[in-house]
Amino acid sequence: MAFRVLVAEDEEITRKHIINTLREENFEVEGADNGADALGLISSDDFDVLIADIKMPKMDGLELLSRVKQESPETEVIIITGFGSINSAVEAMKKGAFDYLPKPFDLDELMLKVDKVRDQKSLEKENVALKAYLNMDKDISVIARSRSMKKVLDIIRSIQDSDCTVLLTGESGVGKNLLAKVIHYSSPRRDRLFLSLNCATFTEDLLASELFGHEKGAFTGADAQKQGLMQIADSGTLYLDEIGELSTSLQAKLLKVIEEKEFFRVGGTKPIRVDVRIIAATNRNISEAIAEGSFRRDLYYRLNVMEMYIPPLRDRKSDIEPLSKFFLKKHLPNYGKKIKGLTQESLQILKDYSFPGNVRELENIIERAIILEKSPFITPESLPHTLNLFQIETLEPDTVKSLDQVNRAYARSVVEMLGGNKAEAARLLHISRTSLWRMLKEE
Amino acid sequence: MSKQEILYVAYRDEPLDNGISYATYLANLLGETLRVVLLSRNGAGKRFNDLMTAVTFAEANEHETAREFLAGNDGQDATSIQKYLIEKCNDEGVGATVHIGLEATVAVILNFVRSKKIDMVLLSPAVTDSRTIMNKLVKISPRPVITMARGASYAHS
Repeated sequence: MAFRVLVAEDEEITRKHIINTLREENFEVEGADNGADALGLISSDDFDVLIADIKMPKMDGLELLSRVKQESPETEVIIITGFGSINSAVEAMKKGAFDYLPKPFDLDELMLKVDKVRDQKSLEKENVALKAYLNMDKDISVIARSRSMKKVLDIIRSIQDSDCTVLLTGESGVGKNLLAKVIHYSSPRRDRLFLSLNCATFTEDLLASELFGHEKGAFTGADAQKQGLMQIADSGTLYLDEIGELSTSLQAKLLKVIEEKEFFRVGGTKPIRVDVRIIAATNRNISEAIAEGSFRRDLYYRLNVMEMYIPPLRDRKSDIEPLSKFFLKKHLPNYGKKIKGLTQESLQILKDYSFPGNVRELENIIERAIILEKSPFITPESLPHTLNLFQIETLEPDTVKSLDQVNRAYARSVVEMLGGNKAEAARLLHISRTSLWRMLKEE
Repeated sequence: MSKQEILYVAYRDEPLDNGISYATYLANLLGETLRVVLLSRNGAGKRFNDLMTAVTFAEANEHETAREFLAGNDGQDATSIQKYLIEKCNDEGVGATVHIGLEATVAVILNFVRSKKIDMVLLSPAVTDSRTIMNKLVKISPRPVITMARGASYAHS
């Protein structure tokens, strides 16, 4: 996104002069001849910096500064003090101005101050990205001894120079979030922001606001303009977990971002352009959701430019031992214990277990065992009691459906599409009502 | 939007504590809530199961509920079981919804899987043992089905 400047100055010649100079330097600039209009522009649009004269009709520069700091705290303000008054300059700085400039001023001097804002903003963004990168460096370790996980890592390596959208599928706890980070930090966007959002944890309205931001007054409680994650992650990556939970209206908005690289804030009228890489994840069968009409086919095709299935832990037993050792090493320092490893018996119990909670569950079991264990090795006594009581088995849904099942699922979707009107559904399906009734009952 | 749920399916007349403990453990682990469906079954074994359930409640110091089971007072025990399960789940830090006395059919379970945000279906030891529901469910459930077979996979020394 271009760096945007608003010039609030009542003297037309000065205003135009500043605007033209900034435009020559490739800034995106707009102007206002009074404080009230400037505030209106800031309320409805994004500006990185506001250059405001202290003396203006309708609303003076100091009041404008206070209001801008309330409504758009991200916007930096440079105040032009007209009367050589050091008092007003001090007051401006106290109210949160980035800098001030006494009249008469040199345009080069103004340019220097605007450049300073730009550098600082860029530094802040890079700093956040760097922090995220450094934090990631400690946490990110993909343990893959199994062939299936090595294949997943091979695919990630093959797309490391690409910018394509990625759809990660797999059960809860397999490590989709971790792999999304791996994809981001091995891509050319690695020094930019990686943000994640779980689409299932918000109501539709809140999710729209989180993703796209909102304008002031867009809804009750929207006291100030807010940037959405889509905008904050500009030039970085946005990871959307549980994408299957997006409502159809938000699916349409997301599709627009992917296709046209622009969106509107909630309550906004101006399109905002962004360059965000989307990595989505789901533990649901999106094909079924498409068949049921709850997920847009066009969005699915946009998201699964590269689809990666992360296998459950029970299907990659050879990863259990190295993962256990890794989690042991990771959590031991937190408890000050000297545990050397797992007994063969404990390891066998873990290998026999089906881990419905996948890698997340294994990590939890190991951390719990570290707390409980009193000997130098993790023994079965420190493993969850349930593993002793029951043989837990995970049965995956049959991936190949019989024709009967497909017919029944289709019939059900037609009935649902018609709001439960079975007579009409039977007519459209060219079967009798009793056949339809039997078909639905057999389920 | 709400959290995803684990659907725990059990018979109303089976001892519930161990199964529910595992269900709450999984729900906590995955940050999900629990939807418990207690199915009704009639016929041979019911009286025996009532006795076993009464013992379970008595061991948990729920003597009133245990007495209700012994008296065969089905109408009253439904509310007690519901209250007991919700409290037990809440004590473990898991939100729960409990449905009691539903017909023991695959259709009833599937209806929950399709209409709610079910991440996985967890079958209690008794439902796993009975096989009929499990075998049918695994063929048509769009979500993974977790079974809990009785019998130790290992023994504590």
